[in-house]
Amino acid sequence: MIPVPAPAAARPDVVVAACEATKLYPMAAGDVHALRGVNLEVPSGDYLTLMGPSGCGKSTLLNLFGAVDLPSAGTIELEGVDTRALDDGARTKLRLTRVGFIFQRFFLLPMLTAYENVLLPMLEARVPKAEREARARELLDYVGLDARRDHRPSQLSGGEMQRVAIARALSNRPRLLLADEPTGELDEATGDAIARLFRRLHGDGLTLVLVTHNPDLAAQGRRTLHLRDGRIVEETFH
Amino acid sequence: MIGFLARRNLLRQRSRTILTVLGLAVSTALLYDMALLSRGLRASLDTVLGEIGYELRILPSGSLPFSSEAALTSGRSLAAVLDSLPGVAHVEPLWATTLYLVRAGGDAPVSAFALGIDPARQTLYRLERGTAEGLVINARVADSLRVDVGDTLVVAAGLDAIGGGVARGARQAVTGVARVRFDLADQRTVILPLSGLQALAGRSAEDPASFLLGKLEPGVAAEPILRAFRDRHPETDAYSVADLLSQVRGQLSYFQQFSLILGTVSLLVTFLMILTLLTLSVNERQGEFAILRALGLPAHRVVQLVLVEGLALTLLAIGPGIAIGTLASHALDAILRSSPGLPPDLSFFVFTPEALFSTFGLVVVTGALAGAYPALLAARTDVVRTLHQEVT
Repeated sequence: MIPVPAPAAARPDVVVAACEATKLYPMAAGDVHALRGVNLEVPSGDYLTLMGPSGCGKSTLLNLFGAVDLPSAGTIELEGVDTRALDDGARTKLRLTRVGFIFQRFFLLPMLTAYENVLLPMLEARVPKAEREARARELLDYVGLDARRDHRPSQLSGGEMQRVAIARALSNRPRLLLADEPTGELDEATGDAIARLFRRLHGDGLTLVLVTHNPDLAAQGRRTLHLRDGRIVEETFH
Repeated sequence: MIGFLARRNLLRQRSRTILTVLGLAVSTALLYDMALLSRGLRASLDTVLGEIGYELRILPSGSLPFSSEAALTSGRSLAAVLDSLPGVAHVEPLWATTLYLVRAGGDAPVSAFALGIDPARQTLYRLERGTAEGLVINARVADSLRVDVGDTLVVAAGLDAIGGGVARGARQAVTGVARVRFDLADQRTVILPLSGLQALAGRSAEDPASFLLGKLEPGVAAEPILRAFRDRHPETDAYSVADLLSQVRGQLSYFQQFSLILGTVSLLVTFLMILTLLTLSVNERQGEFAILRALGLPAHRVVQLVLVEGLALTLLAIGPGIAIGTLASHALDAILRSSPGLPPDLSFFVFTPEALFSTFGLVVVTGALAGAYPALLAARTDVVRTLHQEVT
């Protein structure tokens, strides 16, 4: 079981919230509205999936939730803290310690082993050596890859790489796990295995927000938001 | 963590790293050699003059030691005047002229540079065998006339214009063989007591001296003594060794300019190599930097990572660079010292701690500066756009 940290915010029940969140990308050919006034709360322990056509703003919303990007207007509150009020250093620290990211293309560092990739965020967070080593082994065991800990990404399959990426995202015990198309590069069977892993993480109390095109993966969440043209157009509960 | 990541990144593309380090080592070697060259001749002169151990020089006006036949007259009287000044410990007059030597009962005479000096003061030569009380020859004289200690030479100040032999020669037994400072390559040199040389040349009454060497008592400043001597003998030039060195340094500015230009070129090459490699590397690794930033690595840590990679390359290159530079400097020094007209005690490339430290410092600073631009590029990675591009 993965321990979930205590909330740091004044509203412990809400991990992340969007209030009239708007994201506009100025382009030479005309401004692009990726998000238009999105209002949303993700309570602790939620398993939210985001669906919608390409370019509807799913990944943009995920980036705003993870404090990788800032809204052009409106606010994003991560554990009760307005991300726009934070400088780059504070947002970076928030990403390091409170948020776990999983990407469609895994994005493991190719020169590091699976074990070292999992260790990396803990090294940056200055987790004591014995603790980080034990935690890295525990996480690789949790995702079923302890036997392949010394393999480089080039020696792993797509599913194995994604499992390492999940272990890496969990390494600093985040409160919120964000995943952008986590099964997009995987075959069906491997995708199912990853989906089971997410279900297990949710069962262990982690708050998850997943972007997916896969209806089966979306259906295993507690609720699904459908986005179109930067707006939430539908909410489905499972 | 930064060191760990930098090491892994450099090891990831070993061939590129090795080739870059080799290139940097060569440019470091050139820089080191230029640092040795810029200070070498000066350091070599400092060493030689320091070993002679006399701080004052009194010369005929407008000349340098042994640079012409010009001589001070009444050398011993001038020496006594200098010696009488407070703070002067000892004064030594020297005179140099040309002598002609022939093996007793033998061959055609050969000319030799002759130095007259008190045998008790072996300041300009080191006796290798025999004694200084008499005729001392250098190895070149010994070889060319096939003589050694105990053999006899006929020594004269002039040649017989009709017969071609020596004129009014005196028989002198060779008492010692010495290595003479400032000897040029292949120069024949003999040393005699000053009075003996003057007598042989028929100039005892004139008592000529090419220059006077003056030794100061410990802690005494040279300038007041030189000023006092100049006041009494304005027909002479009175210098301290430091003054002479500064004059010589002016004449050596060619080497300093040469080394400055080539040293600058080598630094520029070092700078461009690191800048090019790291800029290429950063451009190739934009996705990685975006990931590191997304995972929670602050921008300044990304800057550190790139700077450490640049510094690591330079540090890896310094050792081999100094080694290559040392080998090259020995070879270049041998070539330059084989030029005619150069004293064998002088070197062009001389190791000094300053040369080593300045090379180290310049290469490290250059590595850091060259890493600054790619580090800035890496830190400015647009995380959202880069991750989006990596996916699409």
